[in-house]
Amino acid sequence: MSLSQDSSPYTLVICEKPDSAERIAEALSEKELNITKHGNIKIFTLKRSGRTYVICSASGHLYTISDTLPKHYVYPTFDVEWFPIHTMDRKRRYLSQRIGVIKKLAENADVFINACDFDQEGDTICFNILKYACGEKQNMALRAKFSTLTKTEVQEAFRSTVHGLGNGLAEAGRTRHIVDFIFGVNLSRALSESYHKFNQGYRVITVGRVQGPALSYVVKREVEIRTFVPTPFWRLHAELYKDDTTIIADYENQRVFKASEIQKIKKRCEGKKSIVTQVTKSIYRQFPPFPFNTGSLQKDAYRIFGYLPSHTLRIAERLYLSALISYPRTSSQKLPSSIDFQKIFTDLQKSKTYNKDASNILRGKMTPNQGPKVDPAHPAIYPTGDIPKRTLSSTESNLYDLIVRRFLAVFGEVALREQISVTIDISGYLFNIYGKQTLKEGWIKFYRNYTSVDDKVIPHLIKDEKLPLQSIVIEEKFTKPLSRYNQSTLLEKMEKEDIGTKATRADIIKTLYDRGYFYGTHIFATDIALTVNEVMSQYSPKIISVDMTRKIEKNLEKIENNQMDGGIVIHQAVDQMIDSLAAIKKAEKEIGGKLGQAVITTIHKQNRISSCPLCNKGTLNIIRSKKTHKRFIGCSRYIKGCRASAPLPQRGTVTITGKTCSNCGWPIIYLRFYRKSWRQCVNSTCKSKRKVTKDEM
Amino acid sequence: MKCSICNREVIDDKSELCLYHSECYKKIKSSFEVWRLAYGELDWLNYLQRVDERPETGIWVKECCELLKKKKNYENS
Repeated sequence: MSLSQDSSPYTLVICEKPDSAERIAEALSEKELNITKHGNIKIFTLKRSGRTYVICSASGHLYTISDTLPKHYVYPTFDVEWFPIHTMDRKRRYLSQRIGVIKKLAENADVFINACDFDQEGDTICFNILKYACGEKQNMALRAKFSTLTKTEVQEAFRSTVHGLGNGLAEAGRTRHIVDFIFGVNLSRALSESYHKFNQGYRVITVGRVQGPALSYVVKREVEIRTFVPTPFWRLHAELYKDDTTIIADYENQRVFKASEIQKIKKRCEGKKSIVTQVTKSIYRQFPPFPFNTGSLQKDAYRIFGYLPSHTLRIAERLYLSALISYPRTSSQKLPSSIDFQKIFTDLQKSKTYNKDASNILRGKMTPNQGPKVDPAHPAIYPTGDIPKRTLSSTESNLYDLIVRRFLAVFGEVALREQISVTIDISGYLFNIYGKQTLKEGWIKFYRNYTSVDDKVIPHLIKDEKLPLQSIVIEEKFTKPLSRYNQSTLLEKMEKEDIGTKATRADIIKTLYDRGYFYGTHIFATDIALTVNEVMSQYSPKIISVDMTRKIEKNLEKIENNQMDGGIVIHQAVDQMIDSLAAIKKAEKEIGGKLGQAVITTIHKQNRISSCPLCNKGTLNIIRSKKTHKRFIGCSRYIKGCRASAPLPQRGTVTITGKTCSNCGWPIIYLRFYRKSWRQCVNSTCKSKRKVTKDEM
Repeated sequence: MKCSICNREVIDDKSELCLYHSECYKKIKSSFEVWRLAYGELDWLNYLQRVDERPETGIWVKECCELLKKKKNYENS
């Protein structure tokens, strides 16, 4: 379709992404589908029930929030407006063409259909396009609601379009953007400016409405770990014989806090008879898991495949755009009966992998085990049953298999398991043995690869049976600190505390990594993170409090349900910011000093590789030459005569492994440059780097 | 005034430690009783040495232990 040509009015369909536009166009076309390209932008034209439909797409957000001030470091700033993204971010100037195309297409359209994802972000994207690119058409648009991109669901969604932009979704989404901007930009500018005024150089120090509480969880844990003092305790085991096998029985008191007491028990038990005093068996039911929502999918994908939450969401998004699964951004743990389960299982039967399991389910009652969480916009994540039309990448196929198998498990029967508990008396002291076994697999057979069934078979024991005692073993233990968060457990914590949304939590964690607040798979907080948290709790405690974030989330929910006006939430945010910013401004010098110190300490720690293998007194650090600006490794005691140094590749990221070379004892580092990564000993004269001569061969 | 261990500000004029290290000091002192009860006989220096050697011990506690050991050795000498 030519943009300049005069034609009869048509329906303009606005989709969120180019891929979804293509799929919707394919699903709606009755006969032929006309595709025209304007630069890189595809426009689909089709006839449907005698009417022309033109389908175009955004590419995520085309408009963004910014302040109206000319200088982007001034705070406080509360006057915000929506601007085309390409005017704010030079890297995304290619989006100007897309806005231009939509503007042209809107000129001849008389009906507008919002076919973006049915959630706050989707409606915000479409609202802004209708308002700014199409010329205030936001109030006359129709809404097509769907949770999967399958042909039948898309066609049904377009048959039953509704007036208006999905209740208050767009207003809630726009308010969220504004509130997040007011919090994030003002606080970040205040901290960055404090740093800039009292230190050399500039560093972006950010904190936001959701970032703040997420940061405080990790910092709180970091402080607990760093200030942890272990205390000793002891455990006692009895090694017993039964039919040539050794059985380990644990002393009933799991922790004995006195060395003398444990020795006394050991002495009294040694060489004594052991008698089985009690055998209890109990059968319990293990119910199928709940259907996946975004959080539980991200959690399981991390546990099973090690995929980071943000990565999982990206893969799931691709599977959704390929119409293989339903919309992955959902809080729901429910599969409503309106979904045609019969059809999905019949379609899954066609696949070799799921044929047997799908047939099994089809023979049963077909009732899913519903979870408690509800999402009015979308059901839980489920496979559409469509067969992939393209070859899936390994990550896609792993995640798809996980989703399908979870879906099968949800419909599975209850599993029956038996727990056996045996009590043994040795000289008046009681020892226990626990066993577990599965009696009926039920749903476990569908989800076996992804669930850990901790079966522990113990020999058959009867009451009053005497067992020969081999030995009594004492184990000295120490209390351990709480384990560190990883990306999955932090996301779980955020979900539990109800901060952020299912769509943004993973990205917020990623931002905290990018800002240098976190590092490592098991999250370590840097000194910058500790200081930012310290400053925030001192000068702006409300901002990092979970209560405030949670209150805003509740208010956004009210806006979504048309029970509250967005303006009220924005005013409340501004009021809170005024006090916080004034307190930060007053203590600018102190904050700047603290942040400067934290930045120096963090950089120093990041550059410290290991102790010097040559002088054994100094440390090997990554140093940048003032003359050549090139980086290399050198000893901190250079001035005192230590000449330990090593060259470094000038590009790529260096990670310290903490390991040393078995040949020379120098540290081993991990280097990454684009997709290439390797480990190497830093010592340039190390034997491991020497080429083998012909004679040696 | 700065903390004797790190460069952070001390909690008050009477203290020579920052907020985090004084928290560690409190914990070290309160755990000494638990350790002494557990092992029967244990002197302060030996206790500090053992806590310092444990991998579970927090890094700030280790720093605090080092300082306390130095102080005790200085007093003894």
